Amino acid sequence: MNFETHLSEEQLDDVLMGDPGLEATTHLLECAACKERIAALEVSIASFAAVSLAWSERRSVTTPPPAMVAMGSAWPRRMSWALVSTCLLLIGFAIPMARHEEHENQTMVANEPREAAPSKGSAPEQLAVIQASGAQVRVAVVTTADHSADAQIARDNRMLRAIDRELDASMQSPSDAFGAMAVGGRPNGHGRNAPAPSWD
Amino acid sequence: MQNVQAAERSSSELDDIDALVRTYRPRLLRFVTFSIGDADLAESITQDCFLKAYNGRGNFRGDCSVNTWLTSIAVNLIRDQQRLQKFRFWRQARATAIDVSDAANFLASHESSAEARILAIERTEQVQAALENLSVNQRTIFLMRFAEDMDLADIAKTISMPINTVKTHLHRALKAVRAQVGGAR
Repeated sequence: MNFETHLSEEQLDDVLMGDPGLEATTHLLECAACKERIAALEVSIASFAAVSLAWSERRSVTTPPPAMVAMGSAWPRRMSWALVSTCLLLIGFAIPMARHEEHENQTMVANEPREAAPSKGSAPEQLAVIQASGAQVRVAVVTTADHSADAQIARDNRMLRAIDRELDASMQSPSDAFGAMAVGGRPNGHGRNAPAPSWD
Repeated sequence: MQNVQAAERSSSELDDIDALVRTYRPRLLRFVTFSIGDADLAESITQDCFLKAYNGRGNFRGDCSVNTWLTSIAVNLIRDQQRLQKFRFWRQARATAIDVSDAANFLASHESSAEARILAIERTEQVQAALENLSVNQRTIFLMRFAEDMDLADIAKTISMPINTVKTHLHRALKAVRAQVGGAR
């Protein structure tokens, strides 16, 4: 190789990589231009290495790493966090499940007495059976509620019957005193059993 | 015999985690930061790297330097990170920028003149700009060779790549750097 033909880029790279061939080494001993090209790139790369290291050292000082003792003890801390998270998760699942179960129990118990009440006898007997289990105290409340509902129905029925009686045709309507007649020919008001008037 | 002694020395070095971090953190942080181009993520990876090295110090056989061993762990962590990024739907819009402009103030005394600092910053930024356009492999190999001073055989072994492939990556990286540095002049 003479000085008219300088090192190719690949040869320059090989020199920079630290793997120059014999030919390139010989050429560099004589050729200042190629030596300069290599030196320019080497200086740039060396500057990069120095400045980037300075940057990294500075960053290491300004933002020190967490103490390695802390890193070593990170596992117990992580374990405790994991334990706490697991507990919270379990609680999170347990509460809705318990509520759901409670709701199901209530529904079941609320359905049971209505079917069983006629065959099981009186309310005190039911209460005695129910009170045997502490968890089923609520059943007594539900049963009592059922009884109060029955009483309410009975009261309503009584009231309806009273209203029926009031509306009975045997009783005179105040409008009858004025001889008013309904359009259909029936005496106005409550004369359901009154004979239909004749238009003849 | 020398290898055994070196291994013993290195493993005792690995036992003292604080000294290990003090000695190797700046170099490792630089390697990771300029490999991935994100300073904050690099901090996290560097920390993971030391933790992994400390926990796996029993596996260190002493057949390479501690720095090379730490670098190989860092390379694996960077690869994991890249793999993770590939499947991440919400890619980080902008990585934490690496600003080296004030780092030159902390250079060694022979470059402490104002002119030398300015030149050093300028050259550094040119190389940095060239590195940004390289693939992760090319960047990593470039840094191993020119920042960590590893020889080609060590690089090939560390990243489990044939030496010719390492050379190809380095040629591409140097071409880009030469274009950037030469174009700026």
